[in-house]
Amino acid sequence: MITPLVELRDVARAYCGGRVRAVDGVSLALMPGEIVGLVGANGAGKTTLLRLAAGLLAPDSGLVTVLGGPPDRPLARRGTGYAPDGPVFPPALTVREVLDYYARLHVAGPRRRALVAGALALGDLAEVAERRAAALSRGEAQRLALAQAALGGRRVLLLDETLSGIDPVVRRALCDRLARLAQDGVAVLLASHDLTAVERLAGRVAILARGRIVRSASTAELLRERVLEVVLDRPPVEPPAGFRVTATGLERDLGADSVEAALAVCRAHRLAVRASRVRLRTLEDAVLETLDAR
Amino acid sequence: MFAHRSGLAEWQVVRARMVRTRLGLWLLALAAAALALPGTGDADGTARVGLLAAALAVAFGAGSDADRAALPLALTHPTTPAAVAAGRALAGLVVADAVVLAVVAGHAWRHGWLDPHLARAAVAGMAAAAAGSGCALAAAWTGGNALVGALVAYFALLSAVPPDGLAPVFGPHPLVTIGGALLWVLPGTWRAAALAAGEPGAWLHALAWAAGGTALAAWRLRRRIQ
Repeated sequence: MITPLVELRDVARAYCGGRVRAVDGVSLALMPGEIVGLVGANGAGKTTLLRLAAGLLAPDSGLVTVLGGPPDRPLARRGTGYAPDGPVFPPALTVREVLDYYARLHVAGPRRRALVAGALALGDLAEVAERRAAALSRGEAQRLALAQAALGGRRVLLLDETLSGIDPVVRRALCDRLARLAQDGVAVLLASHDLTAVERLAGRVAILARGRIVRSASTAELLRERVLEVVLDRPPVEPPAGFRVTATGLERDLGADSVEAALAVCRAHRLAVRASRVRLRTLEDAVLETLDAR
Repeated sequence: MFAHRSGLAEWQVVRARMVRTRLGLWLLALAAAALALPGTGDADGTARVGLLAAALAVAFGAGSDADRAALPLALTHPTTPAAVAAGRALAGLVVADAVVLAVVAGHAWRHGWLDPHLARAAVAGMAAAAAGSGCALAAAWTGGNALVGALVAYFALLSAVPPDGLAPVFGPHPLVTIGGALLWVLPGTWRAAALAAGEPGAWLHALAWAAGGTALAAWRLRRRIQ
């Protein structure tokens, strides 16, 4: 039986003396080689959940287990990497020195240089290796955060908005590298507003709202629905039942309905349909639908 | 193991500050001023240099907002708050000891190496630096560089006054009592003679600040991640 690398059982954490319940009874398991996307609105509890798993916060109740024990013990620290959103690195150090600083905490001697070189390659940071970390752009800082998180052959990566603010070319390269790490058995928990990246990477998605997981499903299950997009001459004041208003007209999940039946509804409402197309549902559709339903 | 690796890692941080920030200039200015002022070769002078150098090294190496903001990320690697604090305090101590030894060497170069008090003065300066490093780190991770700045002013201006030296000047007053208690508790140059003479009480006090200040800083860091 495969045991989860990270397991949260009914975990709760509140701030401001209990008035703000950031995480409220969350249970989640992260298996080896799995990439789980954590999505939700601002303040939904994604960062708190990651910090709990990283051992940077203690839960008020519930149990957090990382690599078979508490997240703050040495084995868990060695095996778990965390890349925060808006990372802050020791000032005055260059990118290479920042990675060397963290590498020194893992190994001593010449193996350290190999760790740093590997981390520079993973984060695509060779060009800025001698630049001071404080002078990096947001995207470069996110890449440095990812590089330090993966440093030392971590078995679990906890990534908070790490793929946000990165140009599409580098983002795709980082996605490919993360996918390769997952193939090697690394478990990744990726909190992100960048749903395109989550859709591309994650095999499973957990949708958070007000500190609770309101839906957890495989990405394939979330995206298998078909969506009908309808382009109209003029957007309607009130959309027909089941339709959502878009920039160019309307759209709706088809479910078991046929395209003809859905278009017939538009015609019945005397809407001038200029064009229509069927596409697969995106993660954004699924997330918005889940959050709107609440 | 953690403390050893953290010590090496934290030394790298402070070493970079020496050459890339004003820390190096401040330490040079401190050493130059100590050599220019009278009393360089005595225990009081070297203790003051040790305390000030330690506080400056900690201020530049651990006290800034960015430095403190970066600490939690280090704790996601195989280390502990105690190891990080010990590494940072030790790095500050190494820098301060280097300044103390440089000042003592400068004095010896000018006045000869045969001064019998010189070795004792160096030891007093290094002991004071250990106490100052622990104390400054606890201050830095409690109140940031504002508190370390106050500590620097205290080390430079007030700490030469022994606790029982306030009452004869200012008379009996609750503030005088509080000031005397603070002088007794905090590291200060007034203990330098006792440190140079090897008095156990003075050495225990210095050790208590070196270890206790580091422990207090580690506790502050641990609280930030709970």
